[in-house]
Amino acid sequence: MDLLDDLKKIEKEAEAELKEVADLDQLEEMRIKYLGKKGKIQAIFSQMGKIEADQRPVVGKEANILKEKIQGWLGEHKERLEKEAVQKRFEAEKIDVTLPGSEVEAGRSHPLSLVTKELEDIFIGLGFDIAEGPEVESEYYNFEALNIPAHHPARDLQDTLYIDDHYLLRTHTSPVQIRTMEAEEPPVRIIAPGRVYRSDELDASHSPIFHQTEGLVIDKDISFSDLKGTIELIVEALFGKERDVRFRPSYFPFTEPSAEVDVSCIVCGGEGCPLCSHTGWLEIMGAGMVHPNVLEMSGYDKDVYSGFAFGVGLDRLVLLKYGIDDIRVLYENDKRFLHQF
Amino acid sequence: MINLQISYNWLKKYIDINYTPADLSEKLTMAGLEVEGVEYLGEGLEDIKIAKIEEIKAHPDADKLVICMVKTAADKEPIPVVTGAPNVEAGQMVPFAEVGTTLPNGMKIEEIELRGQLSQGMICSKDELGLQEERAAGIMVLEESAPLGASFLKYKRLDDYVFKLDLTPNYARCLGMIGVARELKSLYAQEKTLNTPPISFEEAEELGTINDYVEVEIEDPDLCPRYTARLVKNVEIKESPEWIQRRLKAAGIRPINNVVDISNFVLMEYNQPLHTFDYNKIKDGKIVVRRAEAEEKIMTLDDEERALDDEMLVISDPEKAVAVGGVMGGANTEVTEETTDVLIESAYFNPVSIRKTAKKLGMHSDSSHRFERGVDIEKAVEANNRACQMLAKCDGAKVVPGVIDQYPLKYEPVVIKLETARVNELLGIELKAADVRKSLERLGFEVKAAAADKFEVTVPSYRTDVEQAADLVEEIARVYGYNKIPSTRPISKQRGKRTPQQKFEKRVEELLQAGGLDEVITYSLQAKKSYDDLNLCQFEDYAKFVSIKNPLSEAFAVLRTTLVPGLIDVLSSNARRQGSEMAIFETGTVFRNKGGNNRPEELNMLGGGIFGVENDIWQQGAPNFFALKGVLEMLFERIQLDNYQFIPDNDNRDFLHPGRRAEIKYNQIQTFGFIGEIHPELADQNNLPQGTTIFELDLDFLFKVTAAKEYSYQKLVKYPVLARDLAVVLKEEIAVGEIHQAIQNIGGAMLKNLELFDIYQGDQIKEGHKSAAFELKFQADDRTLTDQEVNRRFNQIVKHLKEEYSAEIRGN
Repeated sequence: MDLLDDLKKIEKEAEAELKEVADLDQLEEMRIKYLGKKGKIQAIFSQMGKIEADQRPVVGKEANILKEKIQGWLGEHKERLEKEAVQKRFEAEKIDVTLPGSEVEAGRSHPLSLVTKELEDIFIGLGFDIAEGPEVESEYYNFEALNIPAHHPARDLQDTLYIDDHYLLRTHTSPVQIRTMEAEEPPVRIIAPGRVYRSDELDASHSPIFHQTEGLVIDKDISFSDLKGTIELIVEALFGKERDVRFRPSYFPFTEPSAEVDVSCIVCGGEGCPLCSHTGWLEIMGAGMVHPNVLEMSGYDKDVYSGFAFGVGLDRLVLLKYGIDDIRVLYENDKRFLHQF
Repeated sequence: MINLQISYNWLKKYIDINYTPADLSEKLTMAGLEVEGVEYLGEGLEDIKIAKIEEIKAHPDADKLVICMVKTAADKEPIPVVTGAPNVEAGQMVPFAEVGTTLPNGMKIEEIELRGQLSQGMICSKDELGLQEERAAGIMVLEESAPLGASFLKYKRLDDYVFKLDLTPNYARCLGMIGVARELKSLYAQEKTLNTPPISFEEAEELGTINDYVEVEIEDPDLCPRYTARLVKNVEIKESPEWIQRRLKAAGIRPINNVVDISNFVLMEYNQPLHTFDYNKIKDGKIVVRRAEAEEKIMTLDDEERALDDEMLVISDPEKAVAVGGVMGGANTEVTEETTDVLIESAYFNPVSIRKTAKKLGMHSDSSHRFERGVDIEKAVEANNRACQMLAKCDGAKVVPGVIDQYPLKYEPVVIKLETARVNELLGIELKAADVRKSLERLGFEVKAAAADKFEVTVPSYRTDVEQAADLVEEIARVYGYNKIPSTRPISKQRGKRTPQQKFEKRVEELLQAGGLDEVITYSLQAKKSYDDLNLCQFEDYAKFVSIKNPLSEAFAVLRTTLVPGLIDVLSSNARRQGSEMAIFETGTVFRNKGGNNRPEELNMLGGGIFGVENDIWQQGAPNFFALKGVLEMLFERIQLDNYQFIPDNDNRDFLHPGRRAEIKYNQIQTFGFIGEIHPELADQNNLPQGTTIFELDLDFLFKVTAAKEYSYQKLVKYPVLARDLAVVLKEEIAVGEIHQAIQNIGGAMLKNLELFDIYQGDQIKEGHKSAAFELKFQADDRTLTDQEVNRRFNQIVKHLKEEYSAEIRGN
């Protein structure tokens, strides 16, 4: 009996058998067969008593070497099999990533809100507060206090919807200027977005209900150049750096000097096109230095304080910004429209 | 709002400018005279030539047509033109369109054959040339002296541009040609002179003086500070000369006769409205300027009888009113074909009085428009003389020597103090005193130095808009150029912010969007009818309408009292467009009448609606209701609103399905909103899908009760959760919400979470009953709960449900 030969046989046998092992179960079977308590290596050890004493250490050593060898083979093979198993699982679980994701409907903001919030954020960044005022206004706040006395031709500039002899629907957001000045001491720095009303028939470019934002800055040493700088910044924020801005003399009873602000046409860039009536310019807001009469009526000292105010039509801004050609679309709330923003 | 039309050629009579029309348009706009449009009068007439009809031949095959042999130039052979015009004659000079020309109406002239005869062009009629609206009976015939082959539009002086101006009220001085010319000179063309018409004419000495014919008495100088009158006798009423007609047409004024036309011409030139009376119809030649008597009546030039009152000014003779001063003349003294002697009035009327009168009578005229804005009181006589000069040129007309000039309230020039430093402060520039002076003097202001850098500025009489220093600052800025002023930004010492309520509203909007609702914006003026149609007025608050006194139409006649009609309109119009699902919200103001003279109440509301949801989580057949309710519950949780309840709405809000509507209450008592399905009948009537659900909440209230809440950190509990399911069978009519509340009450603090996960009615549940299944999660903050503790509490709950609600416990 030559145990060393047996060990060699076992080694060959194991080497061959390992190649046939295809899964972890078989691998375990093989481990038990060779390395288990009743396995082939153990069988060698149990025969040690039957051989010469001087042979025992030699056989013992060889048996241990083989045991470790087989252990190593099994380990390597196990690792390989595990990898293959994972690979198989991945293959089996493969999905078609081009299928669409499940539907998540986040609600949209109305474009008027988008533009209003955008403006608000720009102005908050410049240190402005957001002010509000009632939509049903008194004659006093809508006209008188804004230096538009009764029987002045300036009243023709806005067709007014009246509630009764005293109350009316504000024709502009400018009454918020007065309410703010009455409530607060200078310095004042506000914008006041909101709804306004005019007796204008509804058509593609007019709506009896529309939105404006008022702006008002009052402090010591506020100048027309401050007005220009502030407005240019807004235009840049809204329409981009490449737009030109121009100021031209105009008239609002509550500002003096007054200006109309134009930006170079967003469609043609100034070349002239139907949108800008071939002038190259789009009128976007009215502005000016707060009229001394307005300061005085609201209890500010016109010799100490000065300020500027401006008014922007928000609907028009939305139409321009998104290239919408009919104001009525804003109030129809067609889902196909709302879902574009 | 175009309120002035000026002709380029006419303007050049007063100032010798060489701007191109495009330049001029830009200059005017940048001067503050906004040009709304420019029209070329010769538009489309560029290729029309003056031609001569040499010979007329009969058409061999048509009785009504002739062949004109037309010569277009001296050195060209006549060409044949077939025409049916009845008024052609050999030798006529005519406007002619050659082959290849396009007429203003778009018609392109081509060589054609008419009944076998070649026609190589077209002899034009006035309407074909766009010179008159109505169809002309025949071709236009020109004067014999018209030069052959010349440009028609040059000959007719149609080579002109008309600028349509939208003048703001402070540009009253520019409502006339001289005013516009003066403005251009001041701002752009210093070296140019202003060419006002030299006025000289012969007075007919043999007629005596005006005082022999006319007497003027002003009873009310406040309303009429100045009244001037002149008399021209022996005037033949006829058409005006062509050049006057052409000027007026370019200005958009229809020529009538020489007297009316001259008066309109001076109005356009001097911005001074004149009125002309038939002198012989004025009793005793006496003019009384007085207030109308109460209930006095006058027939005005437009043949309307006008009822006057004592706030109105009339021009009167001793017997009768002959004009509503400054607004419109009376029919009784109108200049007609029989008139021979013309009394010319040139006056200044009080702007406010004119405005009130014109408004009350609904008569807005070219005169009242100017008087309202203030004319140059100092120029009244000059304008009157100008009219006389022009009338004197009519054959035989004789101007009676002298002018009556009643001027009881003499013009006092406005003097304004101005400091250079203040100008610079307000504009953000650095002008020297001399620059300030120069700017103002250019504009016609008289400037006196009062002290170093201080001026006293005298305002010219035509600048009715300048009242104080700020007005002068604007003038200086205009001369300096708005666009040359530098751009700076004011230093801010404060931090910009939204108010807490604004932040809250923004957050609510964002949360609703996260819940899948699209924001809509609807009109706040609505038709009352839509409230009736939707049965909304049954609900008391919704019937508190604020009505518009002068509504545009029924559709915009009342302010909304609720967001509901707007929301329903959006939902139904989208449903009509085949939208299969929609979820919307709106935040907005609603208005409620507070009665009497009180200011209407303005409330911020939040409303919304939904249709098209299919997942019917509780199998109640109301998926939309629970989808929308879910969004609201999410909102309430996120804004930390506690202690709200959805309570069946038993007798309010008839526009909702009676079995599917709830009031939303705070602390069991305070209703702050509702949710419900649109009543099935209303849904049908409005093309809404059945089951469409809407809600409305009082946003101000929500803000008020949650304003003080801030998020606070609670230590995360590390002890285990013990979960129990509980399925109870209840009588159908018991609200699950009530059971939920009862379980929570008994469960107490250790019942950390309670959720309904199933509701069932059917096979295994006895008739008239339903099964509700809850998951209960128990947890203590400070220790691990034992099974015994949880079981004890669970059993208490079960016992309570059995006793109070006769509930049976399933699977127990």
